[in-house]
Amino acid sequence: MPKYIGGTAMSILWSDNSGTMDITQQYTKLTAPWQTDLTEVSSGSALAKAYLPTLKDMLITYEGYSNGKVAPLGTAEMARLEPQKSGTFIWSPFGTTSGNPKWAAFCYVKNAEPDYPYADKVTFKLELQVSGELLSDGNTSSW
Amino acid sequence: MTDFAGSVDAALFSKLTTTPGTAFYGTRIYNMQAPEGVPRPYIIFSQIAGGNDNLTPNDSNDLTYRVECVGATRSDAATGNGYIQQALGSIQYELTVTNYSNYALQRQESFSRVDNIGGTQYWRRGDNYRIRFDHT
Repeated sequence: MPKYIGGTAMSILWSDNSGTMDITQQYTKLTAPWQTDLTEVSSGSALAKAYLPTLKDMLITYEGYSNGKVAPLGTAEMARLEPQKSGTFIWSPFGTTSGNPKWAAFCYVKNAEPDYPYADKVTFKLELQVSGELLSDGNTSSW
Repeated sequence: MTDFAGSVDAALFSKLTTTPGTAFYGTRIYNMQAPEGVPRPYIIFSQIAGGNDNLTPNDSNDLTYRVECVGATRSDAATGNGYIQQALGSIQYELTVTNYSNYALQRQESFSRVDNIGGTQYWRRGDNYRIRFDHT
């Protein structure tokens, strides 16, 4: 069965009023769970529950190493990723070469969480709440 | 092709030859093995573990080096190792390697032993150092 090592060609971009910044090099993990709410529509005589999908939602989690200085993933970039700030998050698991899947979504920063363990690498975790439909669905859209 | 391991070796050598310890062991600092008959005390260092940690797309490396002082007496080995600890003891940004940032240099396991070779005692004391680099 074919397997796939993730991330080696990954591109992760954040685009806001200040421009587009690349936060790929310091990243360790990216998750983008895409889900939907469901409304139960079971009839009175049904023997099993029935549902209809309603609204989709996505909360993206990015984790990476901060170098503690300006960049990469230092104060300059963390300043653009503070709670309530917004921008377009663009991630491309196979890179940005023409034909590769392109995911993009308008997001608000919901949680920006640096973690300072003693004598070990400082990590930065980011939760991005997608607002509205995806701007680019990588399953059907490409660069 | 850049010899990253060779660059780290050179950076360690450079660091150990620009410390107060040089008054004690001079420039008798050798990678892996000292030449035969070299006077004691001397320092030997070598990479014993580690490599690319594959934690980010960046070329980050997590290495373990053993650095030790070999002395004619137990006391000499301890004194020399004290100088090594002093030279490599400030946690980060110690080593200069082109295109890399040495973001962590941490002393870890310590050891001491004595070898008897041809009726001569070689007292050894040293530590393992975890050395981490990020590509800049």
